[in-house]
Amino acid sequence: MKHIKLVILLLLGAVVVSCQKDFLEPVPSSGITSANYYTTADEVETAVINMYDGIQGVNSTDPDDNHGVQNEFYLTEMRSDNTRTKSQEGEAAQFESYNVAATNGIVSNYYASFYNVIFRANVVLANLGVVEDPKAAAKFEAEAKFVRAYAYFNLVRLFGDIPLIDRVITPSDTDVQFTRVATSSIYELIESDLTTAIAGLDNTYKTRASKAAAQALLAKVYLTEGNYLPAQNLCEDIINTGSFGLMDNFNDVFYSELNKEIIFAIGYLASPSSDSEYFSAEWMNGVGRSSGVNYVTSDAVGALDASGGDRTQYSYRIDPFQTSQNQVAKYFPNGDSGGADGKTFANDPTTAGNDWIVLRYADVLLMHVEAIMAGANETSNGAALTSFQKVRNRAGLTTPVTSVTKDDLLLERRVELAFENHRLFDLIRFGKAESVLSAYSANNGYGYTSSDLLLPIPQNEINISKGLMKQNPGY
Amino acid sequence: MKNILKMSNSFQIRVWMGSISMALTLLVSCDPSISGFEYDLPAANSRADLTPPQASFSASVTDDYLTYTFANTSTSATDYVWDFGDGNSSTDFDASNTFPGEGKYTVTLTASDKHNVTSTFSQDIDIVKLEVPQAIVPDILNPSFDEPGDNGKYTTPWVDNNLGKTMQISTSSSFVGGKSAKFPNADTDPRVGYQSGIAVTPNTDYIISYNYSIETGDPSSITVAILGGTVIDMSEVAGATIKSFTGTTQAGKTPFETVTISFNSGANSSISILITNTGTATGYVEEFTAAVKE
Repeated sequence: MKHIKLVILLLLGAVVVSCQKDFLEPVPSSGITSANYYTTADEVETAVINMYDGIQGVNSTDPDDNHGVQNEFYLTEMRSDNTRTKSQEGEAAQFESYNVAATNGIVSNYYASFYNVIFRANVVLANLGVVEDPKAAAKFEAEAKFVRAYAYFNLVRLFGDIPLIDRVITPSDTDVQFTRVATSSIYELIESDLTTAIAGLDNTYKTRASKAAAQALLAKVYLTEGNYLPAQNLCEDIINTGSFGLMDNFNDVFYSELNKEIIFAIGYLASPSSDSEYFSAEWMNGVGRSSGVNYVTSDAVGALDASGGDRTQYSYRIDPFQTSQNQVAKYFPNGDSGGADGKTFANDPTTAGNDWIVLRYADVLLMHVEAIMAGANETSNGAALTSFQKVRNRAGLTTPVTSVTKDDLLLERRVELAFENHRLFDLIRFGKAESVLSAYSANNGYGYTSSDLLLPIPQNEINISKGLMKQNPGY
Repeated sequence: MKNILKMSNSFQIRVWMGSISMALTLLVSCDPSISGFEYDLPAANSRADLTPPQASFSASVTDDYLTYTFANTSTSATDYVWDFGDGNSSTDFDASNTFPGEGKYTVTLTASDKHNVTSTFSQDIDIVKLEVPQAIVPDILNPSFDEPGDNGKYTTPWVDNNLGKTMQISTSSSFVGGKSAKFPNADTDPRVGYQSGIAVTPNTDYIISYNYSIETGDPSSITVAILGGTVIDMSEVAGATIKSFTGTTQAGKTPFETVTISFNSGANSSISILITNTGTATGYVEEFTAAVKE
């Protein structure tokens, strides 16, 4: 009898315990939404990784998928005098002929992709409250702000005045989505985000945000604004860490991933294919979806042949299948140059694993020269010459340089960083876009006008803004 | 037979329906509002142009200060006439012009469409030849320790208590002006002289010179360091030093030795000078001068 009482008491206890609130109102484990998902630091870190996934973009043939940075070469390199399509066909050819339509799908894809990246960064920032360790929270914040600044810096240089979205918004926040704010306000956010990023990051990663990446990006922002002294200090901070250097062989920069020259790259893997890229295949002859894009112009061939030194052979090659054409030799799919005909690959070239380099040390050295030159036409400053000479020495151009002009520096950037999506922005930053591109356009019968330095705001954005958004001039 | 009748019935119905629809078509095509308007005058039923031309442009100077490029940002226009205000004109979409000389020019763009609706936009261009900015000559305050500061002290502004006890002033050993900075026994009474906020042009070659003497005795030295920016603690000195010189000539109080430090200001818009000494023998520092290196 005694025992029965005990058993009843125990049972009663069990009943009392199991009747807590979460038994009657359990948190649904199958109905995860963005509103209830983020509860731990680990879960916020998935949002952090998700930002890089957004930049990486989707490797698919669906034009409605966000292709992220994989489409960037169309909007930058193919709008400069460096590259063009192989056969002047389709909406891809609108870029080289300075005839971009507001309905161009590649433009709207890039716009949507990078606003999506900004959204992903804002999600991280909105959920920092659940991260208990203040150090971890500061690091996540710094990473998110770096990514947000990177996305805005690309967008503001491509589109001019753009909507400023610094928080998670809903479809009903139409005012924010469609109000174009002045570039100066966008640059304010970029600078403040990168300053936070520099304070909160270290140099652990190369395919995630790092202190050096934020410093290099901010240096470029300052150069774009003509704020030279802080840019010089940032470049010298990176140079003085000693963690970065130039690869001895120029080719290794592109085919030995995460090498000492890389400051920030977007990581890709051949497998799983969801982490792979297709741009490498597009640059080959009829291997990807197009018959061949980002083909090298004779203008760029001329510049590389005359001034590239050892870099020329690793920068472009004659298309083995069509010898009148020239292909980019950086970023062969998985490092495979495609056999005798240049289009036969051991592995599927459309799911390649080449990391896309955003910032590398040679870029920083040349930015250092640009900062010291400080808008003048020439410099013979010792520190500037040292940085300039380092880049040239690696290319086998070891004759000592005694002074550098603005044109020398622009040319050096062209041959060092060819086909890495720098050329157009360099021309604009150096104030040379107008003269260089109008001459190039006239030589090739293209339709360049000054309004082509900005892309059109995608027409679908204009349409759904119901009159709030105005198009850029010339479109 | 029944079937044939049925067929002919449905055939009849189709013929009927066909003729009705033909009649309808005839009716529609006889509507005067559709075929008629080709005889109307152009003004009738036409709509106002809701997007008239709007002229605008932005100007930017090229490497040559006389030559400007003009980026056309007009909307809804097809034809353009540029008047550069110096007698030159152009009908290009984007334009560029080399002005004859310094002065103020009004550049006018007239944009028009095929209705001959025009819009004009003007902007004044001020053409001035920019002088190459001269490098700042560093202004070292109280360089010979002969000027009494606000409080009558000859050490002004060479004082920073965070870095150390301020040097003394000697009236018995001087190169010029009767007074000099004095650094007594560094082992028992270490002292510093520090002046910050000396404005310089970044990335410019400079020369700073000074004079020093050290009394005879145990090996002693006087160090003058040029620092980029400012420091708030002695631990930062090594990292901030652009160039320094340590003098060890011990020939007594009066024979001063002149030292010249050449340096490049690097990424700094201001520099500081820090004077320290070692050893037991007293040292003196006198008459700083600064100049841009030619």
